[in-house]
Order: sequence, then structure tokens, then C-alpha cells
Amino acid sequence: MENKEIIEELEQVAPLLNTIAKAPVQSVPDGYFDQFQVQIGPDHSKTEIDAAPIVKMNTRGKWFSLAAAAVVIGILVIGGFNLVNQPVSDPGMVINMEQIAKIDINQSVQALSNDAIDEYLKTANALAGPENSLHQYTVDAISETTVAEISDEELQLYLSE
Amino acid sequence: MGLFKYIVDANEYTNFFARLNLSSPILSNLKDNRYILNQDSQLVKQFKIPSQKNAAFTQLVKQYQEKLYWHIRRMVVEHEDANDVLQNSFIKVWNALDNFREDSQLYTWLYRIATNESLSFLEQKKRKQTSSFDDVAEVYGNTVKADSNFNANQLEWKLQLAIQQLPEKQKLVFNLRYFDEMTYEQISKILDTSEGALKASYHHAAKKVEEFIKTH
Repeated sequence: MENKEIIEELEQVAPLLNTIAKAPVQSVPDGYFDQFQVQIGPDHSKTEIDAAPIVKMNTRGKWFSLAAAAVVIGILVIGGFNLVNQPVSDPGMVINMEQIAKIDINQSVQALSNDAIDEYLKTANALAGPENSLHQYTVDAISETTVAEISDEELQLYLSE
Repeated sequence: MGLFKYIVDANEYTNFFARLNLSSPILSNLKDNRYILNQDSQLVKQFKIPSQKNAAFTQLVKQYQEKLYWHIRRMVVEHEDANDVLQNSFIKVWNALDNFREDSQLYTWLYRIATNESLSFLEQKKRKQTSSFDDVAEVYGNTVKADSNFNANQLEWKLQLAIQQLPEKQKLVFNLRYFDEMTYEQISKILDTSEGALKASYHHAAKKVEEFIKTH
């Protein structure tokens, strides 16, 4: 008999426990066991299913994240596209080589003042550095020798290179 | 027991012992167990018949509600919590009884469900409280003391306080063996633990409980 076994076992291990009544001592509401009913049925099953909208919320969150990501990507792509295809604000900045080639160099140089040419040479020397300096050229030398001796064709060829 | 091979149902069983004219406590206990097993088997069969399902379940609830309630209450301590866990346990039973295979006893199967529900409940509660084991033991102790029937000088209440000091698994083993008077084999089926380990756990728990009662 199990009960006898349990008593004998406790007698060996913890005999004091054999002297204690096992009946529950905790309070239970009056008539609890008589009135106890398990709430089962279609309504309960439905409640259980309805009580788990976490999946729905997750799905909504996922869609929201994807939509937000798509909007950000869209903004970046459109912004990048606009940046690359931005129209030039000053059309005068565009260098048209064909127009340059048609310029009559001699006439243009003649029209320039000596001070302007000196200023250009100083700037060009500073930009070119010491090795490629144009310091050996002066306004007088250019006007007397170089420009006079260079043909229009040679100048145009030089510019087109 | 080879004897039981010849016993088909409770009536036959009763007639058998009546003819033998035996009335020892052992035979009486065997008779009760056999009757319960037979009744459980009948309930399971009835439950699987749609027209008898509700009646069988009502009978099952009536038969086990009190035992399962106290098993759960000893674990979760508070009545409201025990009521919730008991409800959930019976809902699980309702949903799973159609698939119940009678290679295990209904009794141990019900206890297994109630035990799992209690442990899940306690786990959730612990996560919400985020407190250490010592704190949990203190909380349970205070809940025991808050009972309207509490009497600090009564041994039965000291026993309740002592049980709250045990770790959950030991508490379970102690309750199932001490209060529900189950065999180690039955407890083993409920907790999926070897009988040897259960015996060691129970002895350890019993000594701790006795020590607590002596010193408080």
C-alpha cells in the first residue's frame, strides 16, 4: 500500500512530517468547487484566437518598415538623379571649343593692353610653377616675335589640341 | 499483477473479491484504483463520442477539479492564480483528450498538464517580477502568511511556509509524493524524471522542510 510506504519512508527521512495533518489549510471561496465551471465552447475558442493579434501587429509593423525604407530609398534615388542632371546655372561657363577656334588671335591680342597681358603672364607663371614658367616671355617679346611669326592655322591647331 | 488479467470491469472485480470474501486494506485499495482506472477509461471513450462529449467532460471535471486545484494551488500559492491555471489546464484537456492514448493513465496525464500549466504560469510571473529566487521564496511566504486562515503556531502552516523555501522542482516532487501520495513511477511519468532522481529529490526536500519547521 503506497500510503504505508510513504509513512515508512518519511519515518526514516523526516519523521516530524508524519505528525502533520495533510488536509489543506488555505482558504478557498465558499462554494468554489460546487460552482466551478470550465469556460469552453465556440465563444472561448474565438476569444483565444482574437486574443492573439500580436501577429497582425507584427505584420503591420513589417509593412510600415518596408514602406518607410522604400520612401527613403526613393528620396535618395531622385535626389541623386537630380544632382547628376542639374542644369548649369551660368550658360556662359560652358567652354565651346569651336567658338574659341574661330577667334582671330592676332586681332584679339592687338586689342589687349600691355598691362592685361603682363597680368595674364604673372598668373600663368604662378599656376604653371617654376619648371614650366613663362617668365622668359615678355609683352614686348611676344608682340615683336612670337605672335607675328605664328600663323592663324598654327594657333588654331594648338588651341584645338 | 497477473491477478488483474482476469478482471474485465469493476463489477466483475467486485464480484470476484466478494466470492473470495477478502476485505483487507490492500485489496480495498487495489479495488479503488481498479475502479478509478475503469471509470477513467469509460470517460475517455465517452468523450470521443460527440453526443456524450459534454457529459463525459463535466464528469471528468467533477472528478478531478479538487485534486488538480490543490496540486496547482500548492505551486502558485494564490487562489486567483490557481483558478486561472486550473481553467487553462481543463481547456488543454478539452482540446487534447480526443487524441489521448490510453497507454498512460488519465490521472497522470491530467497531472502532467496541470503541472506544465503551473510551471508556465510561474515562469511568466517570474519574468514580470524579474526577481531572484530568494525574493520569489519570500513573496510566496508572504502570500501564505496573508491567508485569512493563517496561524503561525500551527504546524500545518509552518509546513506551508517551509514548502515555499524549496526550489520549484523539489517543491513539485515533495507535493506529489507527500500530499498526493503518488508512487515514484507515477511522478516519473508526470515529470519525465528517473525514479532514482525523484527519490533523492524527495528525501532532500523532506529533510529541508523538517529542518525549517524545527527552527521556525
